[in-house]
Amino acid sequence: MTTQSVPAPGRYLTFHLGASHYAVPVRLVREVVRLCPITSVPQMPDYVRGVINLRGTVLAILDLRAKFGMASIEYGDRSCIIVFEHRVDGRLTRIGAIVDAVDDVILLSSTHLAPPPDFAGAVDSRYLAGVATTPDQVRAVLAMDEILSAEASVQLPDLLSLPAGNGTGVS
Amino acid sequence: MRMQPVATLFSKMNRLVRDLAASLGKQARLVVAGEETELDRHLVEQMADVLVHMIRNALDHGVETPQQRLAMGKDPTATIRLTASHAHGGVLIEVADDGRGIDASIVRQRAIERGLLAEDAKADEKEVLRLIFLPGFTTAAAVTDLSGRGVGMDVVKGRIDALRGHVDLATTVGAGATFSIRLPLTLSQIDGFLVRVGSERFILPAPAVRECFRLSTESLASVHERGEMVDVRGRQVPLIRLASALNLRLGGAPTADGLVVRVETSVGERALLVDEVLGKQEVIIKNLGDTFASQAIVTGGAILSDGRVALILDTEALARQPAGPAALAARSEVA
Repeated sequence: MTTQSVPAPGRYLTFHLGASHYAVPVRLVREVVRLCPITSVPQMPDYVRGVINLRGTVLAILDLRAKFGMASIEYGDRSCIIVFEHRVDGRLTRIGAIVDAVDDVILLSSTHLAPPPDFAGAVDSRYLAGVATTPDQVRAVLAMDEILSAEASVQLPDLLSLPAGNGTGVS
Repeated sequence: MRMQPVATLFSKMNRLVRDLAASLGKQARLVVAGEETELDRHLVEQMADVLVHMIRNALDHGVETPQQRLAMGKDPTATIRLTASHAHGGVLIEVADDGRGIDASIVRQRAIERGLLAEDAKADEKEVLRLIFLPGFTTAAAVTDLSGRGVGMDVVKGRIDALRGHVDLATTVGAGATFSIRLPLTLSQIDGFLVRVGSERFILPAPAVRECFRLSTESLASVHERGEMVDVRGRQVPLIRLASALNLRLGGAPTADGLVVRVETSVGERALLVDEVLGKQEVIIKNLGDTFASQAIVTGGAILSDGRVALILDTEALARQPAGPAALAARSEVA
């Protein structure tokens, strides 16, 4: 949680989901790739769309709309996958996130950046690092580190610890 | 992938046989063959413990004392053969001794006493012998009466399973026992059946697959209208409809008749219902990443020739999870 701190100034990649605009630190972005067929993985939360083949490696794909509880849309021409690269405890993690469209790379200075506003619970601000106000646009700065750390180990109830329905053993 | 000949592994066993035979008051020689056979380095390392365990077992419990051997008209010096060879796209390692062998009738009796086998079970000799790999078999009582051949065999099997290998046993009472260990060439590849369920494709590990056949409605029966079973030559095998077990959002209408892929797991056989079997192929296992660390029923991903990713299913985990969409629905609600 970075409630009171202000995001660090620097270069940010901007994208949008519908009418909402976002900025993420460029240092976490490895590349942006076109949307490609996604293989869904069973028993995962809805926003974990599945995996893709990224030049021979398997990459987990999140849907940011679903992640933020927004209505899902048909993916369009500008839909793409932002590939994030992040080091968690020294381990390199790569995760792709589907967004409506990537816009630009902009330089945000401390005058643009402010802590996240208090939505009094109307918006889940867990993954909000702050807001960036530039003359053309207001953008939510995502605490992408936190999202990536959380997604690096999605915790689900352990189904296998339930008693097996029809374990037969040897007969 | 770094390959390494098994020679280094085998040469360590020479000394083991010599020292162990001496301390047990037995005579034995080790004969090795195929030591130039190459294997993934990681596999070679993992197999060291397994071989030590098996050779120790062979010497301790399989091989008779020189006096006993002479009395039986055998060479007082026992021979332990350690052989490596390429077979079926993998590597076959055999540990054979010419000791007293394992008596299936005693194994059977032991298994019934321990509740591992029903008294009237119609298990053939091979099936009975496989029982020594069960955890319940490795108890002190069984050891003494069974020439000890149960000792830690479940551990050995567990280790080999973890390496995606297979272990088999052939034995002739009085003439010895041969353990055959089949290993994949590498940990990063798997031989699998590519199956289609709806619009998704999955890989089922070939070693687990026993047969495929078309499902006929007459062969289906159910318990409480939920637990479905397929009749396989008189045996009722639990049916797992992959589409619902995996909670797939299927495009198109569900196929009424599908193919049944019968798999063997440590908790018994299962009939997996798929729409189509697309073929058998060898694939490279790709890690799905930490995001899916909690995901139990998928071993990894494989990149198919069209560039798409197919998931490799863990048939053991599938067999162990409570079947039906209800349990899964509960799970996605929590998520």
